[in-house]
Amino acid sequence: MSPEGDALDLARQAKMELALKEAQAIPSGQAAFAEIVQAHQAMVFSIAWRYLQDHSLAEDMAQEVFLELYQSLAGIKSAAHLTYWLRRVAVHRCIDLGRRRKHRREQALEETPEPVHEQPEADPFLTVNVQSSLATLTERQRMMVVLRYQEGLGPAEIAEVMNVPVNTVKSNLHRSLEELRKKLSRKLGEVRYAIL
Amino acid sequence: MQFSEDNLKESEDSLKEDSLKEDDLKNALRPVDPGPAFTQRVMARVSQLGEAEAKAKAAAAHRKARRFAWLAAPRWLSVRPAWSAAVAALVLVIGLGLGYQQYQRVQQQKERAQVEEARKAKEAERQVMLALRITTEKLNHVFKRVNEPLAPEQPGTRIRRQSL
Repeated sequence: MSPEGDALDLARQAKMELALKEAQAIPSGQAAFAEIVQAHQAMVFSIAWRYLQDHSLAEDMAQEVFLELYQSLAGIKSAAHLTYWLRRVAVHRCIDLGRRRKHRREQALEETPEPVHEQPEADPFLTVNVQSSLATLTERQRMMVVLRYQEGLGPAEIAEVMNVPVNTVKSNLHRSLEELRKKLSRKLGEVRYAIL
Repeated sequence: MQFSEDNLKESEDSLKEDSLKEDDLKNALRPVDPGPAFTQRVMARVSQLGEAEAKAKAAAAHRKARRFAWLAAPRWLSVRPAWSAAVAALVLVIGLGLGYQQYQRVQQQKERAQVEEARKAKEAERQVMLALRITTEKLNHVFKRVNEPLAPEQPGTRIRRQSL
């Protein structure tokens, strides 16, 4: 990362530490809590949305996670702890909800809903395809891929967040990437063929 | 199956050569912001939660207050402090009087019990003395008869046993 990026991260973290302290000073902490929500909502919502593949369900779940945070705010020690706590709670709530829904572990590519959000900076075609291919993975693989590529966590961190052995994370990621590559190659090939 | 970091690295490296690049994957999986409306909805729920908690706290405090209401002083006591003091003094005097009366009654009962005990002890002593006197008399009589010389024996007569 560039020195500007590092400085930006440090400033963001300092701001978050400040917001956390303000939010903990109840009852004056509502605005600071809103700032915390704003800073982390993308992470929590995206984990839920990519795992559950349902926009409204993901939003409800993300709201529940933030309400839980509001009630447990006194126990949060730092900005880093806050991010770790939110990520961990979001992951576990997703897994619980996934189990409750008794959702099929794998989905056919054709049945996958189209993503609702656009990514203006990324290749929209690729984004759509990656997300629909992601839906065909098992729930556990999907969560691991999300944590690896959305959150940028290493296998050891993923293992800690999901309470699974590191080797399980590595093997699942390996298999997931193989599957994603196969599916995307086929899809991209089809498109190239169609264009030509 | 044991997977090492190399296996994963190999998979990730192959991404770079393939149609799907690691950066593409990261870009495709960038966090998606649900928008400012989401923050508002969360904050609305937080406010509702805060209100609900405050209501629950108030209800709990009210329940507690009602539970211990009987401990609180009557309302009229707080109206006239001088009256309250007078009533308190009166209650104290009456209380003390009644207490003293009760104490005296208990003392009298104790004294009566002691007198009765003493009378019973005296009676018992008198009876014991009487019994001892009777016993002594009887023993003296026996002693006298035992020590009396016997009448000379007539031949052919049977010794008759005399009862004591």
